[in-house]
Amino acid sequence: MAITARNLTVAYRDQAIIDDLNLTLEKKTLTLLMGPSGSGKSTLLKALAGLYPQYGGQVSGKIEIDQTAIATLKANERAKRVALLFQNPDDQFAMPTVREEFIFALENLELDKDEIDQKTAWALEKVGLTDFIDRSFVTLSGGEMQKVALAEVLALGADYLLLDEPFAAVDSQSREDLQVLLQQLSQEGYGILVSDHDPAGYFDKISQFYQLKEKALVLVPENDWSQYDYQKQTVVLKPAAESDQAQDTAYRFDNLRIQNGERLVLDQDILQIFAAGITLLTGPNGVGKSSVLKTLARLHRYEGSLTYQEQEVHAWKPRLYFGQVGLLFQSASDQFLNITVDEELDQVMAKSHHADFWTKEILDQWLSDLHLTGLGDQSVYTLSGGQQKKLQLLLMLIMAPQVLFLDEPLAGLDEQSVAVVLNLIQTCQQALGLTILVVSHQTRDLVNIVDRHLRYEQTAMAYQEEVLV
Amino acid sequence: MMNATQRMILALAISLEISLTKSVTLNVVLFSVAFLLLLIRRQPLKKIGLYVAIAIIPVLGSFWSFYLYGQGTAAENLHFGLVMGSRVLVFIFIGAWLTMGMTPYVLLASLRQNLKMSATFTYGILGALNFMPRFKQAFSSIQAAGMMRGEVLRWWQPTLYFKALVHAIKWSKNLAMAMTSHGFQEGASRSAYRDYPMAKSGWVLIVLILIALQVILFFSRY
Ligand SMILES: Nc1ncnc2c1ncn2[C@@H]1O[C@H](COP(=O)(O)OP(=O)(O)O)[C@@H](O)[C@H]1O
Ligand SMILES: [Mg+2]
Repeated sequence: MAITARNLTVAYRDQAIIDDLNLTLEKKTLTLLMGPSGSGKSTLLKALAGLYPQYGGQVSGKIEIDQTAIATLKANERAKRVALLFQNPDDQFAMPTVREEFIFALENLELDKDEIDQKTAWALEKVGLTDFIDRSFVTLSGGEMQKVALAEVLALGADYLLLDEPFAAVDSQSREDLQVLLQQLSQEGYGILVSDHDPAGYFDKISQFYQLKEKALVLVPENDWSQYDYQKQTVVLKPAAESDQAQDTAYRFDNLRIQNGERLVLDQDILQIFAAGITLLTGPNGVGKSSVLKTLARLHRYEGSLTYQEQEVHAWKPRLYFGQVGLLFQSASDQFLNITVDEELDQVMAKSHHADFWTKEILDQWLSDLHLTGLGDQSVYTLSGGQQKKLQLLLMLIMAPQVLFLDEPLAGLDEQSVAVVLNLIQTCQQALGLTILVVSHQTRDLVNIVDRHLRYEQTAMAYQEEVLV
Repeated sequence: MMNATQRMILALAISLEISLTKSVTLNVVLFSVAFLLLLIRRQPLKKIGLYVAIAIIPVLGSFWSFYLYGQGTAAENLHFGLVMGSRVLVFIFIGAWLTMGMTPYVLLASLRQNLKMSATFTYGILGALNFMPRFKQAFSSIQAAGMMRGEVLRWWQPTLYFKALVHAIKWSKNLAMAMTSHGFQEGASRSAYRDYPMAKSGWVLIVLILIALQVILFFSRY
């Protein structure tokens, strides 16, 4: 009784993301799958859930579920055995309320009204959300949505649960709760596979641990787990050269409150972000870092006061504001305006705030260092995840606004690219005197180029000289 | 009484009727009845006010354009202007009556059950409705992305729509995957949690109302 993948290869546009992979996922186990973003975790999980090739991806090899080829099962037969929880909790519900969503799913299994009511109640009780049945999804937090999503697939009767980075938008308390819940479910007999890029909290609960490396799975022996459960080291930043001059302030927070849905993610007394230099913002998953960046970039509502250059952020005219402030979006494709790589580069070269710095020679040099040469006519939407990220960052650094917010600029980059990208960020910052605030999990890489560190815990941020890497 | 499908059918029949006739009397009667129904069913005054506000410009607009630029005599133009203006008013308030106390979910679900409309289609529409608020957000973030690059994207520029389309395609693909993963398959048979029966009394009522319209039309002199 298991899901097995034999010689599984999954490709997009003839480019293999998963190559000749073998995996057995038994019932009554909890498996952790780790790998940097862009390594193919989502791709593997979608293939295992039987969503490919229907939704893109070329698949070869065999996937069987309890000895039946998954490709031969109808959607509602498949849903009774295997279920996928998606990375983005917002994207997985077709209906506006919890009750309607369960009805929708269970109607697919052709159950009658009584069975639907009974399964819904049973599943919600299992995740401890009985009272949530009439809530609408817009009022739920990320963690609650993931619990409802879990209850939904339990109600469908799936024995194998695949969870794709289920904690990306979940605060650390809910993350722990859910991890415990997954452990209990696996002990009851479910076969569970969770992908994550952060190993925190797993090692006393899992039964297997795989790394997704170079398009294949590497089983990590239990003795080596402790290496991944890295005792985080602390690096102490050199105190900024305060002697130079009194540090200028770019942003001032005063009693700033930010809501994300129903949840208060930031409740900040007084804080300033200094002009010029690179500030690193760290904090647990789901604490609200992206919401803070969006607020600073005038893309999210706030209460209280947040000023840029002594003027309230929402009082700035958008055009003037975005003439000085830029945000590197978490998803690269949100940054693109044109179709081809050349069109994108030409556009920013024409509009750059520092056209004197960005000569053609300098651009060509960086393109070659970033391995982006020769892509000129290619559509930006067909680049690989890593290429998109590098291009996106290059575009924003060519624009070189006075203030730049970077949301996970290293996500999905290989080691060599990380080094080039760090060099690019640092070079531009120093040459042009930019103010940069960066949010990243990859603190070990960034710590060498940052000047200050803001730590974000619960609902407040504070400067710290120590950085966990 | 009428269920959602029957109400939809009645609303369509009335709309067709007033599109093909030129009776100010009938339009005024229909508007008054719809307005009264909204009041009797205790719809919030704010909502009714909103319908009126939505109506003002198209109603006055169509009235004036036919009154001022009509081809006939002054009296004919006045009559025609009033017909067109009141027609728009009826459309809006019949629409308000149709959606009164009814969610898009109920309407789509009963249309699907009663008229055997495809489930893919109805769930597609529902998904799109759920995305609406996020779409607004996406629009402003696309505009911000433009301004960060020194481009002001106006609503008439194709870039804006191209980007919005990219978002929409991504979302709809994610939603379709989630639906499949929850056991939904195009054309597969499903059970129904709720029934939306079309009662006989509803049909009787529809017929009576349509007869009443003919009677009003028969006696109407303007
Ligand atoms: N639908 C798709 N079409 C084309 N390329 C894709 C698609 N989905 C993912 N990719 C690419 O496949 C690679 C692996 O992506 P993904 O499976 O999402 O990784 P992970 O989940 O580990 O972050 C990335 O380079 C990504 O850009
Ligand atoms: Mg992923």
